[in-house]
This record gives sequence, structure tokens and C-alpha cells, in this order.
Amino acid sequence: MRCFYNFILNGFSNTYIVGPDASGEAIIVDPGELNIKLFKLIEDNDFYIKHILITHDDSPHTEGIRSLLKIYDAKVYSNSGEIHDIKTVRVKAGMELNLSGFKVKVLGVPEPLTNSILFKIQNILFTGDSIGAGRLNKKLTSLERDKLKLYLEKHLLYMDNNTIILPGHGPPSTLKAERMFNPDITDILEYLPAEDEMNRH
Amino acid sequence: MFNFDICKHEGCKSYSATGYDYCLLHINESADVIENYRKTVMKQNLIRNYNIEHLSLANEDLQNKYIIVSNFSNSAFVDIDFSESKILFSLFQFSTFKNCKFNRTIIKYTNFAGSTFEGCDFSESDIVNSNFIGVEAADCNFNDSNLYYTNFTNAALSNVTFVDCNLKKTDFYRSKRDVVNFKYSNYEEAEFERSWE
Ligand SMILES: [Zn+2]
Repeated sequence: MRCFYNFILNGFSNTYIVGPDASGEAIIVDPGELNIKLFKLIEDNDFYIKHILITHDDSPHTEGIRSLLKIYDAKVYSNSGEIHDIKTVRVKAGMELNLSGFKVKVLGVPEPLTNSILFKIQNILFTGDSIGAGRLNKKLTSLERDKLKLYLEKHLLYMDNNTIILPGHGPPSTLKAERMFNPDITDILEYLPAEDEMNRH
Repeated sequence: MFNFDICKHEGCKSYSATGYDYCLLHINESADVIENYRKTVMKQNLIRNYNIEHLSLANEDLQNKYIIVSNFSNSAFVDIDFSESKILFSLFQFSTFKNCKFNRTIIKYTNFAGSTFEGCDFSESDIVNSNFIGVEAADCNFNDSNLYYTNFTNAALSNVTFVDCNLKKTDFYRSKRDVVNFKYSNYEEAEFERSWE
């Protein structure tokens, strides 16, 4: 498996391509636009975009869908069912997809990020606008923050420490660094029982 | 881009080095082969899509490099000159940097979380939207740099100077600062608290 990164000027967002070691069908995550660099990345690696994963329906993450669909016969996956009048395959938290041989786990995020989902492929977690490096990628009210905390507690914090976080904006990270230093996450950990205690129940 | 294959050594959680099934700690090659591999990678001007955790480098001239989408976490850098280099979207987490020069570098979207810096010079650099959360830095200098939206949350800074810097949206939340100099910098535009608290 190979994963490539492309910086998108529209909203200073990150677009990622996941493809096989050799040429073949590939996945694109959050195409904020289809620029020349991104197109070259796809073509130079002999990829054919077959699947477009959208973490949430917001222009910096979706503007490239239409252009991609003009070139590639691809399916779009989101949790809204429709983006820019384009019908998408509706996916929900807890689903596991098999896309051209790649196992993709769909994770959900609660209010206020209901329109946002996360995708996990192998050891990579595409977090969209939820978790960024060192901070949450969105300014939340304290109530919203508490809800997100509960979610993190339940779903994310028991993943492997070496899980690589590829957010919709800003630098990459690892779950280890976020667990240790991201204050939004360390605050939750203070209230969490130890892992072995969790396993006993 | 990053390699997502885990080192095949039993129990190791590091990512394997580009081109190998093992990380540098567990690679079954002679010291000469590893040294040659290390030299070949570092000789390139464009270091792109490399994954080399547990790298140990000393006394190297890495000026004017373009390091992009690479992972050098858990590594040690001593007396390395990164001056005038561009480092983009890369991971240097849980690494140590001793007496390294980063003068006039452009560092964007790069994550140094959990690393230690001793006697490092970052002056006249553009260090934008990058991550220094949980770092320990002593006797370091970021003078005359642009640190827009760079994150020093939970960092321990001792004898570190940020003279004449752009600190707009630079995040120092929960950082420990012992003899830190913000002279001539717009530290009032930096963040020291979170608004929801
Ligand atoms: Zn190993």
C-alpha cells in the first residue's frame, strides 16, 4: 500500500491518495480540488481513482469531486448521500468497506460534527476536521467538546499508538503524540481507567 | 509517502525503513550496508517519501535539502546543519536534536512532537503551521522567525529566545517557560490560554 499527500490551496486543506504498491485502482480522500500536481501524482503512479472518500461535506474537502468524475469512473462515499448534487454511497460509522482490496473502516463523530466521518485504512486514520495535530481542528463550544471527548474515549483511544493521523488540515501526527500531548485528549485520559482494567470488564 | 508496513521484528511497533522489511534497529544487514543506505538517502537533494525511524546522524551537512512527506521519528541528530532547507509535511517525533542549525529554513506542516532540542538555532526561519507539542527545548534560538500557527502546547522551554518573531496564533498553551525571551515579538497575538476555559 502506498499513500500520497497533496496540499490544496482551497482552504489550505490536505488531500490523500491511497493506492497499491504497483499500478491499479486507488482511493482519494477529501479532494479539495483537482490541481495539476494532484493529477500528476495519480497518473505518474499509474493509479486509477475508483473511490472518493469524503470525511465531510465542506468545500475545501469536496471541490475536486466533479473534476475527478469527469476523468475517472469512481464512486463517492460520504455520510450525507449527496454532495454538490452528486449522489454518493451513504456510509455510516461502524461499517467496513472493501474498496479495490483495501479494507476501510468507517468511524463516526458525534454532534456537532455529525456531518463528519473518519476513515481508517491499515494504520492510517484520516480524521478530516476532527482531530488535528496537537488540537482539535475546529473551535468547539464546551458542550460540543464534551461530546467529542466521550466519543474519543469510546472509539479512538484504544487504537495502536503508532496509528498515523492524517488530518484534513495541518501536519500529520501519530496517536502516541496526541495521547501524550494534545491537551484535548490528555484531559480525557485523566478520567479513563487503565487499559488492563478496561479489558477485565 | 510514509511507509505503513510495521517492522517484522517480533514485538517492534516501528515502521520499517523504506526498501526494507525491518526498522533500522532490527535490520539484518551489516553496519556497512546500513551506513551506505543512510549516506545514499542523505546525499539526495530531494528526500521525498522516505521512512527511516531510529536514524542516527552526526556531523552532517544537510543544507539546502528538500525533505517532504517523510518520517524520521525516534531519531538522533547531532551537529547537523539543516540551514536553508525546506521541510514539508514530515514527522520528526520523539527525536533528539543537539547543536543543530536550522537557519533560514522553511518548515511547514511538520511535526516534532515529543522531541528534545539542545543548543539548536532556528533563526530567520519560516516555521508555519508546524508542531512542537510536548518538546523539551533548552538553549535554543528562534529569533527573527515567522512562527505563524505553530504549536508549542505542553512544551518545556528553558533559555529559549523568540526575539523579533511573528507569533500570530503561535500556541504556547500549558507550556513551561523558564527564561524565555519574547522581545520585539507580537506575543500578545500568541495563545497562552484556551478560550473555553
Ligand atoms: Zn524494528
